[in-house]
Amino acid sequence: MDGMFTNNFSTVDWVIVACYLSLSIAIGILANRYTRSVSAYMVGGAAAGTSLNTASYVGTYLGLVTVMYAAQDAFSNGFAYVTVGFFGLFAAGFIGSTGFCVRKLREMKLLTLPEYFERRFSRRTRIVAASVCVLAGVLNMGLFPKMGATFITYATGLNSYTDLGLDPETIVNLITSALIVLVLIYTVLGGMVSVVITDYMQFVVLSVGMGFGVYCCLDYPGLGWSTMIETLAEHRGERMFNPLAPGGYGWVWVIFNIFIFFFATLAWAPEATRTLTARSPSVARKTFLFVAPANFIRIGIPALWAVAAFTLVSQHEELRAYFFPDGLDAAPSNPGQAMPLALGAIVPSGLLGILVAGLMAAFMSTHDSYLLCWSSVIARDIVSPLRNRRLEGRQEIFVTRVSVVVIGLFLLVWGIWYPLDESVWNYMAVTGSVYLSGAGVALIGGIYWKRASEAGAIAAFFAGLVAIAGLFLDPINELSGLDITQPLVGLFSFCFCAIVFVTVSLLVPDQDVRQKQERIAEG
Amino acid sequence: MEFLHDFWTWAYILGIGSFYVLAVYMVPAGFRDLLDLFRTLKQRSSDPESTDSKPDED
Repeated sequence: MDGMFTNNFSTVDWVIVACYLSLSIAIGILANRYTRSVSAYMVGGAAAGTSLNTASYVGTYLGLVTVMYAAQDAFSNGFAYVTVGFFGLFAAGFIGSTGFCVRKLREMKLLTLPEYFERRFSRRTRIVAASVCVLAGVLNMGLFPKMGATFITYATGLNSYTDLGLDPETIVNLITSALIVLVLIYTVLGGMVSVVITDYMQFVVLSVGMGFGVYCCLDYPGLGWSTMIETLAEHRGERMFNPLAPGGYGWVWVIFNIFIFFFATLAWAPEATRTLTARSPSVARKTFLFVAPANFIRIGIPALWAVAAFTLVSQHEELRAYFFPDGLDAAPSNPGQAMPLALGAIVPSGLLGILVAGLMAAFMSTHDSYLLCWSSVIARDIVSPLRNRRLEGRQEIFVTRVSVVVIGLFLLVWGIWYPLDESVWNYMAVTGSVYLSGAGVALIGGIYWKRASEAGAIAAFFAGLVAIAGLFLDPINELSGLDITQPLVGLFSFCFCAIVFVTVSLLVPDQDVRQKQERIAEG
Repeated sequence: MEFLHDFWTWAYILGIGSFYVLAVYMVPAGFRDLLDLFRTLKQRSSDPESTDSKPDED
């Protein structure tokens, strides 16, 4: 496949990327001087204003992995995949305009989300919530490094350096390892203050870089908006524009993704942490309102790049044979490689360096936020409550840092060993459901339903574990003779958790409801 | 199909447009917030055990 796309990534681009990464690491190290308290390390002192908090939120959830999974799905399903961007936009818009849940959460001045479950239910609920949260979160993150490394390998043309005796897969694995080490150093040193600063830098660089990427797609000879739309319609039909068209995603996928985006906006810990880093409840609410357009962009722009890649592929016989061996209307092979290869060819040198630097920054800022989030949950919501004695400030930071390293090592093993599916998004959504299906109902029920009980919340968290079945569907389908899909498992887990939560709460009510409500009111 | 093409065309125009309007506002305002954050953390660093946040304000 080498040489099918001419790669524009040159020495100038490497210099831009190296300068940007060095600057990010230097900032991470310098930020260490501000992390003298647990609050500063974990939630940046809960002192971020609306604009900074919004930029940091966007920096966290607009990761390189987002760009990759959106492009991978859009290469197969076109603009139909971008409907999930609308779900994200409406979810954030609704929460931001009403303050639904987030206002109450910020008023309670929490450092992590599971802390809420102790205040509302019990310490046991907090430990269960935190354990499920970390399990789902670390599994969810498992493919991040490999997806990021795949992008870097193909966008920079490193895949063609096979004369050193390394095949592209080995190159991807080596870059995966190097990226993990880089992120670990930088997260361990800086904490949330460095996360917020680099998220802001990423927001600036990525806004510029992605804008250039869109412009190049629209301006490149043989591409352009009308050509891309017509090519997609001609070869793959209505299902590329409408998820409910015959042969498209279907209702189960649509409903499951509405649930996922709504609950993830509320309760997915790395993003929900932005509720806690906000300076005030009002800033927390406004942050969600302001990030709503970015929810569309983070899916829409990579999808546009993928459609551009499809258009280019359709124009070259050799590329068609590699990506669509069974014809342009059939399922593609290697869909994850198409968008980075196309960007490397479309975007001119210099701009490509800015774009790749922005996306590498996206990779780093998503990783540091996620690593810090899961690690602080381990330290604060599992280790501390199990000891029955709160960890001292420095001890807590130490446990958090050790957890960051352990999770990093897991990512290294899992990322290299686990094969990339045809739809990484489905993997992400299903692993996310393991936690979100239980946490979502327990969070909303805890805030807005007086009869929500500790037993109901714990049962809902355990019920969410049913979504793990979504990772082992091949043997399950073989044994049962059924054709169960990942979205079906995910949707089932949400409905199942809601039923379990309500039923168990009604059957096993709390004994001291009044006391608990007084505790929450006191914050 | 014509409707779907128009729908996605306008979705992209509005989506990308609103994001970049927001970005133009966020970049300078975020930088100001960043300076405020440093100032706040510097003030608090004299009390390393403090975990409480600043009084609620916009």
